[in-house]
Amino acid sequence: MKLTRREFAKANALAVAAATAGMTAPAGASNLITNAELTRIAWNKAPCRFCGVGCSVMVGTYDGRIVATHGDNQAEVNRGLNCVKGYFLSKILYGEDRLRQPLLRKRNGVYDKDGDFEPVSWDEALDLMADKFKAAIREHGPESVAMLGSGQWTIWEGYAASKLFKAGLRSNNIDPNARHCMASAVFAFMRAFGSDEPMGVYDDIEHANAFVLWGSNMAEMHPVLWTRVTDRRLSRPDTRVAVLSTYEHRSFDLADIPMVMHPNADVVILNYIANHIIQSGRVDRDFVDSHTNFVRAVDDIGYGLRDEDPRQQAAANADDPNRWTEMSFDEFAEHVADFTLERAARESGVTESRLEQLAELYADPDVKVMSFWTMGVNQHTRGVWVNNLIYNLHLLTGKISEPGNSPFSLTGQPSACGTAREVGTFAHRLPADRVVTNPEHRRFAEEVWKLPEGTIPERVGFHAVEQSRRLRDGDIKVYWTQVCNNMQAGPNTQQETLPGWRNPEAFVIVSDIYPTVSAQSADLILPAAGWVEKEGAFGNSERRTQFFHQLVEAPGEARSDLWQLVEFSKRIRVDEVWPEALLERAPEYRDKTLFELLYANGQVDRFPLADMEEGYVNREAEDFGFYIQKGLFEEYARFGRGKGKDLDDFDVYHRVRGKRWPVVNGEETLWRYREGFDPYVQPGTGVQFYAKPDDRALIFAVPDEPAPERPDDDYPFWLCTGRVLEHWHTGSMTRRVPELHRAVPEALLYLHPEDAREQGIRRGSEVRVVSRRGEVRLRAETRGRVRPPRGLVYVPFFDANRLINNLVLDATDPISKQTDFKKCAVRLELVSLA
Amino acid sequence: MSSEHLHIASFLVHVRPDRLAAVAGWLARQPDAELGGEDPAGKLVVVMESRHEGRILALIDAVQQRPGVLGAALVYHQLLDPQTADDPQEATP
Repeated sequence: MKLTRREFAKANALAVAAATAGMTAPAGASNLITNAELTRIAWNKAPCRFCGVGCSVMVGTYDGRIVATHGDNQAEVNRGLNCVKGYFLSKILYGEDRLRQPLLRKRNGVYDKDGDFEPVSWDEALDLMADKFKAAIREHGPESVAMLGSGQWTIWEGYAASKLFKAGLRSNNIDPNARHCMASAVFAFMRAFGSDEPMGVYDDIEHANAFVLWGSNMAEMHPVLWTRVTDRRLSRPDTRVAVLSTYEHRSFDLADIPMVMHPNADVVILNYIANHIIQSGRVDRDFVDSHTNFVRAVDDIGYGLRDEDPRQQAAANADDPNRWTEMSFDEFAEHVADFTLERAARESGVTESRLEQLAELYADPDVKVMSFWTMGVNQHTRGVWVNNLIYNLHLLTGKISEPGNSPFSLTGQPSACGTAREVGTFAHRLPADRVVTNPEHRRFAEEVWKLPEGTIPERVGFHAVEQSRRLRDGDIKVYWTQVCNNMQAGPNTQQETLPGWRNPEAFVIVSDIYPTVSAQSADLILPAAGWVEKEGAFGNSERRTQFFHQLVEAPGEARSDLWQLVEFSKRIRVDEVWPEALLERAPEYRDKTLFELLYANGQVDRFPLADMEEGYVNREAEDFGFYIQKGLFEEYARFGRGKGKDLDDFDVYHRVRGKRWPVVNGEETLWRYREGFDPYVQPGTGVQFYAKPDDRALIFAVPDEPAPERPDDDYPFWLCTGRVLEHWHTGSMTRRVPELHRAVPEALLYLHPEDAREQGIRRGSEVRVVSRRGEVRLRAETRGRVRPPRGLVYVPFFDANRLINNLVLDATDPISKQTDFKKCAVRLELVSLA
Repeated sequence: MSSEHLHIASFLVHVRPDRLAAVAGWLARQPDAELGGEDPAGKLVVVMESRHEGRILALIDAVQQRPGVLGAALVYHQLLDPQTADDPQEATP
């Protein structure tokens, strides 16, 4: 058949969209999937590098440059769909101010903390870094050096960094900025199930007939998954969607049960629902008796503030908050009996009828319910508790680990799961759910890494917020950050982060692709390669591991984080950083470099360049002389195999659109802990929470405790911070895409029109927002996509010119050490009316 | 992408079923846009042909502001050279 190119393209566009929507395409269009017009462009798959959903995109390259991207219609995750950020992926690498060479603060030709940035060579930059690290460790010990990375590290970058710190430099002071993002989810998984990450998968969406959003705004933050939820709601009109938040947002458009609650009221609501399930006789007693235990968590656990803070000193269990004692079902029922419908309505501000409708979604045995949550739950001074309270509802009713019944913790970064959690780049972790405080876990890691016993320190390192405090206090002397922008993303910037980084005693290194606020606050800037400028792997929210090839070269002298870590390791000898006692146990390592100890160790370097797939460049492998990504991955994979975290062989992932672990005999696992789905479950058990010693999950009794700071006469408003659809996190990439920047050029202060009127503020007025810690000027917005209730204001954190985290209290969940970015107290001062 | 290209795109719109006809009607009146398919459950497929990429994004943004629209997601995007867009091409059905 003859068509013009234009007709062909339009038929193709229609056919692909109709297939994506599950609709029939018009005759003649349905088979036109391949497109001859695009043959001059090379197309390759890659997971998107923004949020944790893990959409696969097709990346079109031509003449060494990315020229197009579109949703990958072979991907189960997104089925060809793309959100607006994903649409602009091709542009994030091409901002005009891309970093192209190392920059060092200098005066009179030498490093000076008060000097100006000057270009330097990689050798000068890395040699100086090595000198600084060695001097700090020699004079102050390994705890005087620290690193902050993120869930944007590829799997092997996070693994290489973790190994460099925990084994090479012998410091556990390495943490991901994922600490700010989902540490609370991690701790709750470990407490309740003994194994991190969700039991369910995205496929649950097409099996559920109720969805509950606990504080999440999926419509803007996880738009492609939200499209799947929307599709389910429209295709099955009996589906119910409940949306709970402290303000109204775009996800409310789909809500059948919309609920705006007072901040911190989630603990009361969740305990009420458990009470409702028990009082109405809908506990699944068979499930509960066979597969769960009830425990009472210690209370009065403080707020993760500095030790000298009175709120910290007043808390009885601030030092050891992650404990519990056994209790019976009857005692649990008695505990939640205090949380009546009347009390929940009074304390949350949500009507009784809506709360009851919400409770019924969990209580009704005929409803398959999926719970979603992200930052509203995790960035919470009681975030671990709230995560556990959600699992309580699914466990009491047995609505878990089966299609459609699914408590689902979402993530915000492309490899928050794959790297930060699975590799274990947290200050307390080792790969595959192991921890540094467990001697057997340390020993296992030392054996895999061919290191003498006692190499890995047992003390938990400094977490992200503690790192900022220790920099300010002068305890950390050398600090290296990669793939994160903590000067903008961390809390309490003016009182903690900035004074820490500019402390004359500290030497701060930032690796990034753009001159972020963090880079500008550093002493040495290293230009990084981003996304498909290197071979990489991410792990998404549903346990799916996805690979991508290097498709283009990084500009100038920019190099990947992996390259930087490994080149750095060549400049330090083992005997320069290890104590004599340890060297005596392994004298053969004395004169070796950390590169030889950690990477050219007979394992990581065992795959030759010939193993690489033809037709792709690989800058790191070519520079080091071996297929380093494969070597790192295969060494890392040994940690998870046989432990319920099994990964497939390296080469498989380059061929498929990801696989969900555990991958056993080549088969991925959809629903964990359920017989028939999960190969680790013993036949005949039905359900087995096998990561717990007695195969039982824990149901937690927790009380209601107040927020550390609440509005008062001086600071009468709650401040909640967050994101917008068009920008990703601190905006360092999306603000460089002209279309996205034009769409949302600056952060606004969203507030209720009545509050604005009372304060003499108009839409567009310039307002000074002040907390006990700092202030920022913003334009007021009383309409639009975010509609706060009275008494609460909302400000997104993407805007480098308006750093809202100057205002945020550095209170954390005491168990997870994750900051609460969702509630502190502020006042509003009119600057100019507009 | 520069404006010398011809942009062909498609996107999927989710709409509350009671507003489907109104939104479909509105979309059909937009320049550069064609309604490619319709599902009474509340789905519309829109195909666009434009000399400017910005118009595609503007329409996706605008449709999301229409009453009853629950979301719009881009599916397909292709660049054509306007000089050769009307050349015949062999396709295998």
